[in-house]
Amino acid sequence: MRPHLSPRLAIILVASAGLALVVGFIVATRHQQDSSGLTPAGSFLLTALSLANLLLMTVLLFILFRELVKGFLEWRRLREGARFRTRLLTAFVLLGLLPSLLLFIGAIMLIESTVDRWFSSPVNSLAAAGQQLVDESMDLVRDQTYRKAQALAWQLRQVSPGMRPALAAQLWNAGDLDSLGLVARDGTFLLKLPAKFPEMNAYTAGKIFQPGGLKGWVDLSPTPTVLSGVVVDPQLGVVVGATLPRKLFERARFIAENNQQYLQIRSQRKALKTSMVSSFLALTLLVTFVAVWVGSRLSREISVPLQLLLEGTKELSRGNLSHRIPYDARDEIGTVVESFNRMTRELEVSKSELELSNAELRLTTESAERRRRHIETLMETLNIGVVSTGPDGEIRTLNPKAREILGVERGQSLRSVVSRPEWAPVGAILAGLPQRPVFNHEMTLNAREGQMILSVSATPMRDPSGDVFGNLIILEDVSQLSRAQRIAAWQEAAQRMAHEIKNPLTPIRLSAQRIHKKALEKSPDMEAAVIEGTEAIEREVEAMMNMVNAFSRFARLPELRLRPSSLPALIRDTASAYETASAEVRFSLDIPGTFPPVRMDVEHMGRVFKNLFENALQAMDMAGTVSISLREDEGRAVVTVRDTGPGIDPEDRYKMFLPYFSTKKKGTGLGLAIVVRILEEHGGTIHVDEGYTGGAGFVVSLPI
Amino acid sequence: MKAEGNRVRLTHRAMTSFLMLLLAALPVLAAGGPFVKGLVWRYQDQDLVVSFAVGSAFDRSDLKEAIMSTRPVSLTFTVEVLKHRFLWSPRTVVRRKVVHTVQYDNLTRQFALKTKVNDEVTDERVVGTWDEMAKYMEEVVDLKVTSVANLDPSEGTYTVRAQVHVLDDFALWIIPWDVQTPWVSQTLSTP
Repeated sequence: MRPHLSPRLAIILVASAGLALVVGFIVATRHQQDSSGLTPAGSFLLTALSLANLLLMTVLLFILFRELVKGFLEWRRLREGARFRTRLLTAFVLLGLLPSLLLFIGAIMLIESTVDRWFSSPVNSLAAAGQQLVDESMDLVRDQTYRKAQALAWQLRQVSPGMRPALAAQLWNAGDLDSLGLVARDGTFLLKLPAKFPEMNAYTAGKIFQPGGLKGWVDLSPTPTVLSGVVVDPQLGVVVGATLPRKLFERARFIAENNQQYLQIRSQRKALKTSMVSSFLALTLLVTFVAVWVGSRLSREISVPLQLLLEGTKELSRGNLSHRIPYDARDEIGTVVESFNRMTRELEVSKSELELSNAELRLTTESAERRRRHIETLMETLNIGVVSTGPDGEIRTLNPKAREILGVERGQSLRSVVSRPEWAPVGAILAGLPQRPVFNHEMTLNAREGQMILSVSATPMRDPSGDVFGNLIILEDVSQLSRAQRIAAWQEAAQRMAHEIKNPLTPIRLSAQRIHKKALEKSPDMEAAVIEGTEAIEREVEAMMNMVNAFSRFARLPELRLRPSSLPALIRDTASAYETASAEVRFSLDIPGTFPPVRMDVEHMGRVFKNLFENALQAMDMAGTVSISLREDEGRAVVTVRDTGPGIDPEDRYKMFLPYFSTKKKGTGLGLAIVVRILEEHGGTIHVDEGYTGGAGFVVSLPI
Repeated sequence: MKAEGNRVRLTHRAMTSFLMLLLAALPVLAAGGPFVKGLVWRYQDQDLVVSFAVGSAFDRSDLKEAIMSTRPVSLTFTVEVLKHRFLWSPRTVVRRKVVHTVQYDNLTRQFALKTKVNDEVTDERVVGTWDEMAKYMEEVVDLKVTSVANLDPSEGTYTVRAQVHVLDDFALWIIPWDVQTPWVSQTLSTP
């Protein structure tokens, strides 16, 4: 855990440092302006300022260097947000550093030129001239006293040593000298005139006895005096003093003191520049420091949430939707982070819901798949052909049995198969599906493999809204079933035939036996027996002949002669023949006035209706109503014949149309079989009217 | 955590390199200037007495200008006696600081001189010429550094060394940069 400086404390620290520097700058500047030179306090302040600058510079360099190294390392490691942070920090540092640096360089140049201008040639010359004036004035006095001392020494040398003090006193009394003294080599005064003679120390006294003597030594106490001394003899020196004129001295001192200030300031110009530059540098460093600090803080404040956002985005891309960005702020970035967290939260909820839905969907799909497989297996194992078509009749699916029935190879189109002549009826059904979605027909097809009896039924498929989206066609090869039924029917027919043949044979045999017996007995009633016997035999043979003729008709129907004929007329004509059969029989005809002609053989079709009408009359025991209706249904003529008889036993419905099946005692069982055959040869069908419960009903359908 | 430590170490290493480079540049900046000359010592009346002078101090124009500007200018002479011990850093036995101060009077054209030894004024005088002033300022003559009794030869060897601080200055406008001589040392022989 790194020690963290709170922003408020950092601001206070920086502000305090800045204030201290500004105050220091003002004090230093004022100090420089007020004093004639650098006092110890000024020097200390300057040094302190310089040290503070150095410290600031070091800290700043350290911080900059540290930030640069950190930025570089983060950049190299491609840490999230490092580039952005480094750029941001660099921008802040440059924004703070460049103007401050430019200002600082400008300030240095300004200080250099300004300070140098203060001590430029005119000012220097003026100061030097003032000093020179003072020096020359003082030199005049110096030279004067020195010459006087030399002259006095010469005069003193002209007298004996014992007379020299007296001569000196006499010359001083003459009033030309302000002060005069005789000094022994050891520095002791032999004579002081006046008595209040300026003090002389060993140095000045010694100077008198050196070559050149003492020239113009200035003693300012108690009164400004210029002293010059020369050697009189090796043991004696003479000193002459001249008191400086008061006004001259005051002016000279004024000039000298002012010059002192100027000289001191000039000699301190480097320090002056240093103090100014240091102060500006301190401000520059402070500004830069603040810029760096603010930049660092701002870049961190911006880059940290950005980094968190980037990490969050990465986590999100990895699929970790539970990741939240731990950043709480009221600014725009905080809003973005909050939006991000909200988004991930919603995504997480949506994902869990989606997963739940997905699981449910998977279960449903698996269940549907199981059902589909079950149905598929069912379809594959189903022994009936199932074909599904679209609403336009286009084949969608067909199961293996349907392929087998229709002989469709894999990849082969059903249409190409049903377009073959032998499959034309099926093709017609498929083509007509959109117009006639519901039907149930059984047809005999001459396929390649032989004759095939095919049961075809179609049912429309509806979606939950009730709209038809296709048809389901069931194809059932009932050839085997029909064959079995036919065999059964033939067996039954054979039995019936045998029975029918056997029935007449018995009376025939009995008649023959009776005749034979009568002939053996030569019975008198033999003639009568022969006559009766032969009559019975003829009768029974005739019955047998009738039965054989009927069978022949069923077996060999004459070739049809189809031509467009009026079906209503045929029905009316046939029905009228039976209307008079009994008073208790009534025919109800529902036949339209106009009806399109039907291609048919009128004779054969008449036989069909005769059979149906006869069956109806016999079923009703010649008492009841026979209702006949005719209508056009999808290009076919549909005739319904209904009676009011006892109806058909459900068990007999499928045997009705087989040969030699009859519910009548004296029926041949070939009537409806002939009807079926005639209709099939016309492309028509017949089936029991299952919806009719008032008796027996048959529906005949013929193509128009 | 480990990466953070490595980064901190790298930063510190770089900072150390920078400071060492800065320190290495200092002697280059300090090359030339005044020097200590004529360091001699002797035992006199049970005292260690040292004399020496500073050379080339008054060759500096800034020193001349400073003196002639009438502000007080000082040369600080430091004398130290060091005791050297085996495998140990030398110990300063005694330090003497002699400050020669001169203040020029541009009215009388005389130089007021003053000498302080360890902040105690030992001499004051006024001279009239630059040469006299310079001679006075440059020399330390017969400075009593310490008593012989403070030097125990059985405890190690002793050296006397001297340095002269000439002027306060600033380098690169802002860096306090004193003009001073290098230390000059001489080994003391036991009295």
